Amino acid sequence: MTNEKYATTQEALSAIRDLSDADHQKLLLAARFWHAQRKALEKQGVEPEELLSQAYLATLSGDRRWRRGVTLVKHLSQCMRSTSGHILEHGKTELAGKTELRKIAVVPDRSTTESSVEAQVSAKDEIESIRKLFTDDKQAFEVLLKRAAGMEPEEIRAEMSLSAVQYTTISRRILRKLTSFVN
Amino acid sequence: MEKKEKGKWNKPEGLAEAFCEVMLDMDAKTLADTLTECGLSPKVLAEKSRSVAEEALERFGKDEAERVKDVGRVKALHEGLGALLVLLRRKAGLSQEEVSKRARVDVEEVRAIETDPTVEPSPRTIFQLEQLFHLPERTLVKLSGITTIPNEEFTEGVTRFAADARAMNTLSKEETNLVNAFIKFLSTWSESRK
Repeated sequence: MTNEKYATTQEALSAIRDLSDADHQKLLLAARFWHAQRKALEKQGVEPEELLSQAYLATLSGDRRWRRGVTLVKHLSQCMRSTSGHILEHGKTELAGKTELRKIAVVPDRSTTESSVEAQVSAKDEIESIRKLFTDDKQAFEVLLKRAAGMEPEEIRAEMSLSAVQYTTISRRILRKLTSFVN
Repeated sequence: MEKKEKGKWNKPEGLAEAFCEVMLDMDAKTLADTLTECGLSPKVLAEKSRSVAEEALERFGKDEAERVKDVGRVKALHEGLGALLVLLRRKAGLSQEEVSKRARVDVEEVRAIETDPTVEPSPRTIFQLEQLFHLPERTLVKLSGITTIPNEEFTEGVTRFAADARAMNTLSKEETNLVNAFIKFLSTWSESRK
């Protein structure tokens, strides 16, 4: 049966097989980013590739359904974000079995559920670490803040009076920061 | 725009997400060029990532095959449960309604167990039926698929029984023997032998 809101398993399978090289590069970078963002994951022995693998499995099993209209790459990145947050709260022991693995990726977003003081402190540290990365590039940080505020690139360009080339240049600077952040 | 900003500004995840999204929004060429500038090989990165996808697809395929196999086994068990319930009921000379009344279970569930192998019986009903027919403990449970899914040897035994039982029209001595032998098989089969 076709679900209008979410992609089917077959559609997800097909889309995964059709991912381009650029998509794969983005996904591994996203996995490394969310892994680096949750510093404690490394201590728990979780590899970035595991986050990505779980995102695929949760999407295919339907535990983390892929909403139509969202690109697969963004969907998988969001899966990795929530999975990494959940592992931090519950530990890697849950990564033992296939069923548990999928369940991890089903939890609601950390941003809406996590309430422990420890987690909030950790989130503040994470924000601070990103903020510090941009102390030498206020313009790039401004773009980032506007993106975080939910603005689309076109809106940001209009508000900051940036040409397409200038916006791309800033994006490249942000990517450089990201690669230094994950390495 | 004001509303949007209020929505995400103060959420810690928003900034991290935006950091990642800028990268996700990039076109292939800009991404590859920038990665190269950063000393990362786009080709190696893509290959590594692709292998993660391939492994996940392979694993999903195996999990799915196992799941389908389990579904098939449970269906076979339920076929056996339905056939056994019919024979036990006829052996006791009871109608479905009478079984329902005496066991204090829903008559619709009794009918469903007898005729629809896709229906999952409730643990309470299984317990009540064991009590009603004075069966050794945990005999019907083994056919319910509620606790464990037994191995192929057990499932094959159940399938053979269901086929033989369904072929019988009247409750003969042979039929009674079949029921008794099957109950013995059920009660002696250990659940630890998966």
